[in-house]
Amino acid sequence: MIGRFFWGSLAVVLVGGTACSDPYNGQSFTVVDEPRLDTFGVVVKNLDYSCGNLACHGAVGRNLILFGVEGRRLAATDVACGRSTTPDEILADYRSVVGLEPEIMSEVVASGGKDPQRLTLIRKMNGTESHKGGTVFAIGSNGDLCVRGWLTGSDDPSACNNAFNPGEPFVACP
Amino acid sequence: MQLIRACSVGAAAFGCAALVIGVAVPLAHAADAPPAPDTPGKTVSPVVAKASLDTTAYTDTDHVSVVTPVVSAEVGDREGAWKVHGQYLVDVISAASVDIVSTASQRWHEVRQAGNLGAGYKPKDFGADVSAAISREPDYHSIAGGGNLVWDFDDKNGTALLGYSYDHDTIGRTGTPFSVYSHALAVHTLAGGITLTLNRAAVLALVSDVIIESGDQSKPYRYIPMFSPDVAPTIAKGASISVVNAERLPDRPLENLPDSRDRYSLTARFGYRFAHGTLRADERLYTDTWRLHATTTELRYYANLSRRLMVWPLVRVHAQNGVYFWSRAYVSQFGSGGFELPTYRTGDRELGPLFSITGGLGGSFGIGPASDPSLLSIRAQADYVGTEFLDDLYVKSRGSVLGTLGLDGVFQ
Repeated sequence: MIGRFFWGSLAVVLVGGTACSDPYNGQSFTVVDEPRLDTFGVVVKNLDYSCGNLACHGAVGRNLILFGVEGRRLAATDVACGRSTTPDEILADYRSVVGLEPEIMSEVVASGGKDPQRLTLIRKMNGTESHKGGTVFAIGSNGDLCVRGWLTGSDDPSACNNAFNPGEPFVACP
Repeated sequence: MQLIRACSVGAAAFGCAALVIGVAVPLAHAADAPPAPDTPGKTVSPVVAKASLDTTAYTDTDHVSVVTPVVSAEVGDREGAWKVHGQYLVDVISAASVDIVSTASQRWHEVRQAGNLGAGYKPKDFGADVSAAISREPDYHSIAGGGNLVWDFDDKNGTALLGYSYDHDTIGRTGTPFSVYSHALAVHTLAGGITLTLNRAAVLALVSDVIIESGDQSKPYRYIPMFSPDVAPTIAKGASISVVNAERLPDRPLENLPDSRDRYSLTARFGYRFAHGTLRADERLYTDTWRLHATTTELRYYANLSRRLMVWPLVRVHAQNGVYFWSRAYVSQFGSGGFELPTYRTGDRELGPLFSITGGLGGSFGIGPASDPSLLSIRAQADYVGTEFLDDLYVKSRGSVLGTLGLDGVFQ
């Protein structure tokens, strides 16, 4: 009798414990304070050029994946170094950049771009955090100012347009 | 890579808090064997020292391997009124698991060092002990301290225990100073237990642990693939890396776990001494505020085959459901209403539904003097763990082997 009770109870516990979980039933987070999408195109041009080659953030498995003319293309009919980065690719890159740390991104944008180094994107880009591709945009460089300016909501693209000068060569990932 | 914490109280196997406070069925283990009978006319040292050297090796079908040499020592008096003990270990980890490969990263190697020191004093029925532990790896620092109170009652037929420990962890990323990137995790553990000698052969121990965790324990390397609402249901259990990468959305957010977690466990351990061996049966029930519920059942039998040889086969069964925010394929959406993602998301398989069975065999062979062979013994243990992941990406199962080879000595 005791044995049957024991094994019966154990079976109940095991069956209950191994049941598959329901689909996600947690809360959802909405990025209320999103950085601007309309000015992202000029920003991502720099990211695509400096980070998006196929050996680096153009690689399919990367957490931060970038699409564009310099590397991976979104449409199967497009090729690297073919037509310009498309609006769909800009949107995909936007989702990739904003979606990497959405909560922190929202906080940074809400604060008007203060302390952007809270973002892994900025730390790795600046080289203050270990990054296989090294320092891509040094602090204070045009590329750095371009991305930081985007986070503040600025619509002045001058830094972005001047990101590629002789002092900032193409950075290839190993 | 933060694979191993100083004292894992996770869902797998048995929480260590129960073990830390030392609720143990008296077993005929070599290291715990009673001292040799006094020889008439010979002075016996009041101090006994024990030392052990171990090397543990782990490998699994997910291409993770760990080698851990351990050295331990303990000095105490023969009556058990006081003791001091310490341990030092090094984990050498090599991993190319599917989680690493799926992010286009390469195999990594890492070394972790950990040590602990402790002391106990129990002159009569009341006793206390304290301990401190530290663990260092490039991206994870942990420091812990705690103490226990012990009270023997009913002519030592019962023992009550109350313990508390605090663990402070700093979680970072390899190659990045903690000052640039890190987050903290604080863990308070309260343990209470009672051990009752039921009769000359049977002992029952009950231990309850309450573990309060606060802080961000999300893994800083773990990014979670997102899928569109219409694609997510088509992602099968064990979907391959190529399928996930082909179907996922561009956004792959960092893992995000709730900042607090309260864990509760109840462990019952029953030991029964037969003429030539000891049976030990454990059952641990676990639940937490992330709604993970688990059961772990273990049976092992210590068989004294001769004065020198003891073996202990064991079998362990573990089952758990997933945390409430578990999902094999998380959904994110981007539209006029904004960018919407799941608040909590994880890819940690230990937080998902799983089932595991462990089979193992251990043995100890006394090579000490004929008067007491257990004064020096060789110990070996090999366990195989088969785990079925019931609702995961990339893998459906994992097989792992854990082997230990050790040398135990008692000096008096």
